[in-house]
Amino acid sequence: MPTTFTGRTRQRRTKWTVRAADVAAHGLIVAGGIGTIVAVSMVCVFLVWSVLPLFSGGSIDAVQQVAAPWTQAPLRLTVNEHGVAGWALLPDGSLDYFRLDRGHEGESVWRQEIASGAKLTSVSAPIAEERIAFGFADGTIRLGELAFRAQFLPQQAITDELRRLEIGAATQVDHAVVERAAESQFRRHELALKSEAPLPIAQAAIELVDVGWRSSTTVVGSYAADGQLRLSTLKAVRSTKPGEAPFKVRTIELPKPARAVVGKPIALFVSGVGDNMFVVWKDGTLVRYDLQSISKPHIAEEIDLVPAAGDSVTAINMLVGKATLIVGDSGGQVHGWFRANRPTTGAEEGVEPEMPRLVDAHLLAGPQAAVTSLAPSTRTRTLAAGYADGKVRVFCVTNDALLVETTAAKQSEINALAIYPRDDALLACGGGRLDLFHLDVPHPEVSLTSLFLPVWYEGYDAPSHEWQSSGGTDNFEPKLGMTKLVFGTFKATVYSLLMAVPLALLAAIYTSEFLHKPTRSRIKPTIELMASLPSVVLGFIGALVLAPVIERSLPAILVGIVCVPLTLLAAAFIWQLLPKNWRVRLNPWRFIFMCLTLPVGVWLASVLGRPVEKLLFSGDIMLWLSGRIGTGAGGWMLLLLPMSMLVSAWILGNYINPLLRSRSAEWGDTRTAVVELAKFVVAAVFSFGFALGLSWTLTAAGFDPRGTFVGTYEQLNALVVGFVMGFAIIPIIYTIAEDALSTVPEHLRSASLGAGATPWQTAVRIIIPTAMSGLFSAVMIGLGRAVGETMIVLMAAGNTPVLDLNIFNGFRTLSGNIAEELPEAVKDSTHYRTLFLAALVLFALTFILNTIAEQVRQRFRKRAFQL
Amino acid sequence: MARLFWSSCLLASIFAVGCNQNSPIAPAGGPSAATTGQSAGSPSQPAAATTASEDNQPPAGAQPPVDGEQAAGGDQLAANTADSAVADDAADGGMGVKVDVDLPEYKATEGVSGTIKSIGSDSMNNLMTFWTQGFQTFYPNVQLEVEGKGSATAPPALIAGTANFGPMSREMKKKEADEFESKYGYQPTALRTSIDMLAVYVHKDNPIEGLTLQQIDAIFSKNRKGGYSKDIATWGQLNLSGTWADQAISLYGRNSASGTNGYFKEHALFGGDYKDSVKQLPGSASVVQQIATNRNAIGYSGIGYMTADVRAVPLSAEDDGDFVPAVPEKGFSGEYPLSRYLYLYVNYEPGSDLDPLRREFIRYIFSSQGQQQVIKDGYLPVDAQTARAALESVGIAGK
Repeated sequence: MPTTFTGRTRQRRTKWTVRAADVAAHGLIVAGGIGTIVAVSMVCVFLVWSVLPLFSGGSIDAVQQVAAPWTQAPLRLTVNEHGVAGWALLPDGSLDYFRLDRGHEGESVWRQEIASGAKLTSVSAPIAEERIAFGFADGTIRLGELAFRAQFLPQQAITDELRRLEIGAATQVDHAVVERAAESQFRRHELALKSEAPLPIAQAAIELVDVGWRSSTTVVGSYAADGQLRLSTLKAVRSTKPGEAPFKVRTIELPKPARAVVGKPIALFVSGVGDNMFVVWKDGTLVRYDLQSISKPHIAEEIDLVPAAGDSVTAINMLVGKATLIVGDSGGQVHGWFRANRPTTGAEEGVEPEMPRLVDAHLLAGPQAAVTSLAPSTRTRTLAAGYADGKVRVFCVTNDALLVETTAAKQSEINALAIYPRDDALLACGGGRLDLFHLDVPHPEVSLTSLFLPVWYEGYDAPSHEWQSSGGTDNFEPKLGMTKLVFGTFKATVYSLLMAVPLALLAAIYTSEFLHKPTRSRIKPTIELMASLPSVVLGFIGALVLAPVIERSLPAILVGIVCVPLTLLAAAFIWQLLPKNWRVRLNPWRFIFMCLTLPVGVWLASVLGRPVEKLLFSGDIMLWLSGRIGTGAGGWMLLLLPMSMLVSAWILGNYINPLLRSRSAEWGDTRTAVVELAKFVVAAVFSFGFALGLSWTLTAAGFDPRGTFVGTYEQLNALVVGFVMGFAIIPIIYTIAEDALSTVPEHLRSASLGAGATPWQTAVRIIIPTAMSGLFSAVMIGLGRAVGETMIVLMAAGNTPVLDLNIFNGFRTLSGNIAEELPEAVKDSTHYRTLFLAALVLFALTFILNTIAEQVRQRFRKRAFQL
Repeated sequence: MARLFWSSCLLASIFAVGCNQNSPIAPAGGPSAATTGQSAGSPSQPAAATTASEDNQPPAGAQPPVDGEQAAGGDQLAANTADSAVADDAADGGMGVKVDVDLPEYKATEGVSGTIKSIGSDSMNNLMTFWTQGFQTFYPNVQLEVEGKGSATAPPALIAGTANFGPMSREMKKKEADEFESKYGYQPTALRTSIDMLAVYVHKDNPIEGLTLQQIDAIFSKNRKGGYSKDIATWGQLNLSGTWADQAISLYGRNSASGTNGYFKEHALFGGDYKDSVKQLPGSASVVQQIATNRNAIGYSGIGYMTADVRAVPLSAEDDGDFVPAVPEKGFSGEYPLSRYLYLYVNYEPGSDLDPLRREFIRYIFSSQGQQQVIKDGYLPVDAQTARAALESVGIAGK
């Protein structure tokens, strides 16, 4: 056993406890590391997993084909909520209620005339609501309700026969279909037809009729065999005495179109809110009546729906909400038309805006066969189109996407189609047969193009990026354009970095290079303490305290941005004017004196705010920003001032200073200080003059800053967010930057100072280039924080999804949007998955930014190592 | 999380200053609801309660009293608040609102305990609180949690079972009802609990006489589906003169989860889309509060949130019609164009019996006491027939 010089025997072998601890630590660290990587990847995988179904497309499968219970092609075909029954209105005026449950598809339950004694000649377009209007050969119309009623049977009504049903199966009981929905639940499906008393409106048979509702008024448009278009309004009278008609009816004849039309119109629609009436002829002529003023309806426009010669309209219908007209032609194409307000040509008063008109916003391509049937979904923008060759295509009208396509079994003309209310099945009638398809299109309105490219939404003037994810009704068209949110995220990031980066970096340079060590050791933790403020609190302060203050004293704040640094610089030059021995003696308190200039600058800004507002912004900055008074010169001045200051600093550094340097060698201390001060004053005056000249030139050239980087003021805006978010990211950038600067090897600094460089020269030419990789990562980490920041923007940004660079306007970010809308999104719905997509986009954004940042940082580091 | 914070901190602490009535309760907090709200339901001290609410209760305060104790409250209100003139106008013109005499009086039964969890409409937030507090006077050991982030939050909460009541200021969309049915096999049951007149508010100094729905559409919507010929951006375009003429209209509205947002969009904007510049606020009270502090503002909210600092603009449905003020009798008669039902959704399996807590709470809502709370919140009560229908729809035999 070898002994050491201390005399004690040295334990050469590692103790087993140490070895065990080593193994345990190794295992723990490996497991922890791998676990972290796995956890992060799992988040990503989960996001992708949640988002993928959005893009998985749809499917359509033939389920069953049976003989149709009717020989004629039905006028209208509708299926009930649960898909166990449907009704068809046949040309002979009878209504057929038929079964669609498994094994009994197409079996008629009952059939009856709509109204006994009167011959049905027309019926209104089917809509999601249950209300309907019928027109008769005797010139009367009847309003009514045609609705499926489903109710659960009370326990005592359940017979033994019903108990023998399997779950999901159904049977016919009297005039209803009873379905066993669950073990003890039996649902009875009936068709209820309620028709009101006939209202005579014409002397001839009503050949076309449609109805719309406007708050308390029912608007009925009709075309009678006498060739006259009529408009009837039924105003509900609430306090009806028994026996009195529930309506006040008024019928007027509509003017005939100026254009020569051939034959009778084939379709007539009244828009969902009863403000327009569309009449369509076979050759594609459409006449739109404006019913806005219900007592004075007039023709608003006459257009040609099918421009190609020889083609004709073969099928026409309206989408849910009855605002979009869908027109199928003999060429196999389906067009979507809706009314849009054209953009006003001039903003000035008195200029008449162009009238609203119908626009051909959607084109859904089909096979080379005529469109014979169009069936809109009652809840979404899904549309099924049937063609003469037996093909069936399902589209989403919002983004013009073809979802699925199939062919009916017999390949004969599809003459009636119905999408089930839940968009989960499709019923096609053609060639005397009924074809049932199972339909699975879970997320029709989402595609990559509709998410990131402009989409032409109903009622909009042009394709645009929109985010309006939910509405209160079923006929709402969800608008899921993510561009505005991505833009908002970038806007938040850019404006907050604009505030934070200069302040944080300059502060870091100042503390590490110029400040006394003891002061520094106190200041750094203080700034780091700022980071401990929760962002909720910051957002709260921003929205409720800062925003009103900024709004009230906006001119002073804008002046302050220029004024405070200038005061500081002026004070520094004045400091130099002090006698030398004073300066040396007061040097330890220099920092305190410097701090004193801050309130002076703020005071100056508050005094100057009002005059500057008068001078530059015609006396009212809010009105000026909204663009109603003054010229753009004032705004340019303020925007260009920082730039012109940089220009004058550059001129000073490159031309004036070398000139002075040779001469100042023999100048005394005071003289140098005076010259420096004079130089500063001249430079400041020059900056103002330069900015003024430039802004006049730009204004004269017709450029106005309003509408770009500045514009109408909103209380919650990017400036407020910039200030508050600056508060959140300054500590991060500052700490990392300061660390990077302090770790620059001391010998570099000493060498530079020893060679006679001033501390400023040392900092700018030696320290900063060396620490560049660290400074860069500081900025990038700040950027990462700004991109993902949620609470501050949620509270202080107003959350308006606008595509506007204006610093005085708000924005909506991806993260804020997720926080705001997730509670209302039903799990696994399109909206829910789209929000997860927003999260994935955010993830991708930060990932890309960080990767680029890391690459750049590595290059800086390599350069620094070469030193 | 976001709205959780908003509704708790922002509304409760800031907007509740001087408007005790409007303070919604903290989402998580049954206990806090009991403490921040008034002791409204207890008949022993109504005067104190009404006084505490200051001038934020126009219709109830100005109405002919229903009982003696309320009269004291009402008188004191009139004496205490000098500037409630605007608010009083709205109700003075009316006949006052009384609860339908046919409604049954609520009597307590036994075996009721548990927690009332309500998630949904913000417009009905106060109403739910009033009801639950009134209910608590009968059953002191019933706990309550009321959360009002918007009607759209009710269906997910009912589906997930995190709430046993889902107040909604609009009807449930069929798509939402489908989601519910796909989980439970039956549709959720809607109860019509009260009537709201959705009011368009402006600052109290604003001289505007009235607005047509078409004008409102042109103010709020970018599509102008109502057919107004041009966009309205300044008060001058609504024929206000003087200093008003050049002022830009500042728009306030509700967030997208709100049923009020959806209803307004459907009925006042004719299904069009809001302008991007409409500031979406998380609560009805904050809309009113913002309008009160901004002279150029216009916004919409339920009539129950009216304060003396704002004015409800008379509306007209037709562009040639007369302006109808938002007063109770116009709401009852249906002349006011934006009157709507406020719904309470419950998960009721058809044919089954409700558990005692929900059964009694629903019976309370449709009793004369429950409907009295509706009036107190500034909304309009339903008649006995509607109440009976509602009770029958959840299998409670009416009397």
